[in-house]
Amino acid sequence: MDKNENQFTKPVEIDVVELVTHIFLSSQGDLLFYNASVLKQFTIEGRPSTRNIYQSFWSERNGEEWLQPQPLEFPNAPYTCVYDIAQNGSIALIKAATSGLAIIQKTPQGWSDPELIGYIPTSYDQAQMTEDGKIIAVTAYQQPDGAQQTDARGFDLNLYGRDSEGKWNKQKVNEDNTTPLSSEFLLCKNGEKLFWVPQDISAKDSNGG
Amino acid sequence: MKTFPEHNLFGVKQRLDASAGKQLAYLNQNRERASIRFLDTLTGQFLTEFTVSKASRTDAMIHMDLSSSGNTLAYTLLFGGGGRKKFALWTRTRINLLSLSKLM
Repeated sequence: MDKNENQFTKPVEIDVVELVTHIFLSSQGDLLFYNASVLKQFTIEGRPSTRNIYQSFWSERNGEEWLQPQPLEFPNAPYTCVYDIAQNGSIALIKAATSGLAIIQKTPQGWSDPELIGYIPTSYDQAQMTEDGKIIAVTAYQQPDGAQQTDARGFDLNLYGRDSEGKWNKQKVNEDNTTPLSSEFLLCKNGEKLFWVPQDISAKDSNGG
Repeated sequence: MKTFPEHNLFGVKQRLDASAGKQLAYLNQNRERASIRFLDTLTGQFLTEFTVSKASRTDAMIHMDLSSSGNTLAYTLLFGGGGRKKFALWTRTRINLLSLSKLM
């Protein structure tokens, strides 16, 4: 359904889940990804039980309809988390269970096996990807020094890009021995600009700067 | 820097259509209603608004994403906060999609 003048279409309900943490629409609006908490049935010692599980899902437009959402799951990564998408949703940057950040590609046969980038993000880390899928920016949480009496979280910011052999190489953005960064950053989708915030400057201070 | 004066902002998230950055969509909500507003970022002109009435004052739009093409918008609506299930506040989230032709 399309919008007519200023009248919007009736919303299409894609799913009802316990909790949603992120949603991602592809650049042309034909693919949707989301991270959600869902209730799953388990059998523990012969007794049925339910538990909240965090899982990522995707759905695709098929003409005027949207297909039933499917979990993004793989044999070695039954539970995944989407960090970003690229190339109109045909590439997704995910956390594949305990194996770490990985790229998956949509093929006519389904999603490719996860290709590991080489970093296992903490629950505090963020990751973004350019629209061509060739550059990935990732925060790396710095464990607080025991001598530091602070709750502030510090991060490194790393860029990952493919070399001529197709392997992912890491380049650290912030210099050693400088103030750690906050977790907030923005990698422009065209890959031309990267913005970040030193930890000693609050986000409020940096807005509009 | 351009500032868009607003009031009654209960929670704000915004998303530019990344292709041109001409269109800004953002959440605007109070206890009775939630809406997604669209602005022309060059002129600040209000373009249009999509509104959802809240069944409960604890209902809330939480997430939003606008496709770069500006044609599709996804949003989540948290609902059911009035009930209790065991000892936890019970809520669920709907994921909805809107199709829209380009505003600009």
